[in-house]
Amino acid sequence: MSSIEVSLFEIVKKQVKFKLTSYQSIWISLVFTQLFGILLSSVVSQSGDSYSQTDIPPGIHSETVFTTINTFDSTFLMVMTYIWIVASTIFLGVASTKRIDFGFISTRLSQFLSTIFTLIILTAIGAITVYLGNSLISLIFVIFHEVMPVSTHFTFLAHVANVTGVFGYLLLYAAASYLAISLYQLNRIVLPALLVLYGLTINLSATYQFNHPIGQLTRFFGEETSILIFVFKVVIFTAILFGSTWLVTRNREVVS
Amino acid sequence: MNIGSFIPLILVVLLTYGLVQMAKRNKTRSKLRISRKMVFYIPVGYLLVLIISTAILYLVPVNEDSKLQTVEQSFIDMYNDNYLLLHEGKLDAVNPAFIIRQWHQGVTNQKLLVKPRTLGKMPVLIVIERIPGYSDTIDSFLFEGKLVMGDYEVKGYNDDVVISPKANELTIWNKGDRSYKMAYFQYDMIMTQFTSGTSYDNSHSTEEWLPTLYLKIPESIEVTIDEGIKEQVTEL
Repeated sequence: MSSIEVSLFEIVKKQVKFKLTSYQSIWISLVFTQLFGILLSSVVSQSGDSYSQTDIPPGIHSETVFTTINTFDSTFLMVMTYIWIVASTIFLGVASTKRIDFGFISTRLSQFLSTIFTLIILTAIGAITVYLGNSLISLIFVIFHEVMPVSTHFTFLAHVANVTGVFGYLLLYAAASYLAISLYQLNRIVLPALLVLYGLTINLSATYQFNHPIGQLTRFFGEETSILIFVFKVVIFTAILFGSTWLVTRNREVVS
Repeated sequence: MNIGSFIPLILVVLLTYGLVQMAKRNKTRSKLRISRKMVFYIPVGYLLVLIISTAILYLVPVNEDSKLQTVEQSFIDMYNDNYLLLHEGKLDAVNPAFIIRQWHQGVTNQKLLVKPRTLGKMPVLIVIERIPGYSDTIDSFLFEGKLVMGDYEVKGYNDDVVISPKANELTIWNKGDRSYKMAYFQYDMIMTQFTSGTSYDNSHSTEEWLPTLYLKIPESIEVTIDEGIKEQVTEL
């Protein structure tokens, strides 16, 4: 008989690897939700029709020219990726999935850390694929539409900043979802109660004209123009959310 | 209180509940099971498609077609300067590259009628410069027009303009439908939150400069402009 001391790092590493390779539905759902988002983004456009008249020299108007400019964007792709990361987080956070983690030599901490690292990796992959998905939308235009798409041309650093921003938002969604699902498992009433509270806040803020916390939070992240400060905000906020999740889950028993 | 605002919340609760139940039930998962090979090939194939799409977009100039061509704002400014010079009667100062057609028209009886072929407005502006002296020849210059949609210039914009000088008449019309269409793709605003400064103008404004027909007409020639197009004619 021998005893081997296994480090926390090794356990977490094994569990992360297991989660990434075993929960195949996450990868399949990533593909299909993003493809659905790409298809939606490719067909839904904002159309702007206009009659153009020259105004040079002033006061003289020409025969009208009819122009139509359709604007397509990747909002649906982004929304579908949000849904995917929320669904994946819920999947990783539910009790039945957690039980599998304890088939390993595992502690509550290693299980928690492995879930967080898995979420970070999923978020990174989601951010990269959603960003690359823009190219597929553009290519669909080129192949199936007679009109011409125009992409914004970014520098390499701008692309990095864009992907980092997407990663930040997805991570925030993941962290918030993880906390939400943990609260839900703590007490089934908590999550609906939070949502009702959210609805009441929105309604009351509209009635009594005050800035509700969700709006302030949205502006806190959405109005940030510096990527470094945004990353800092995301790190702090995500740490708070994950920390809260740890407080909620650390004393829970593993139920079979 | 707006009850309607609770509908999304109810949907979120139901969605969350449904997702949780789906994840908890092994039966649901078994129904959706895909073979291990496919589970590997689908995501990898998807990633490859994304990478190839990106490579194609960056390597192949698919952003321009035969009808549209990128145009720099500095070029448009330069063109606009020339356009203004022309309308001020400074034809000699205009860049000759913008004169797309030039011809002489002889008239009889010292009379000229400028008119559209059909009722309505014409696809050109007309600038008339009267030159002193007696002659029966009119020098005509067609200055290029431009249609710019966003950052793109519509190529062939001037091709549909028809000017027909015959005897004592100058008839002008447009043979095309003068309808233009294009599409833009733009990143979701979340994706460009930190690089909005490098993004193009989202307004996608359309600017048009009609072709200008510059006529040097001797004072001895009597010019009659059709009533319907008088507002498009500038006499210097």
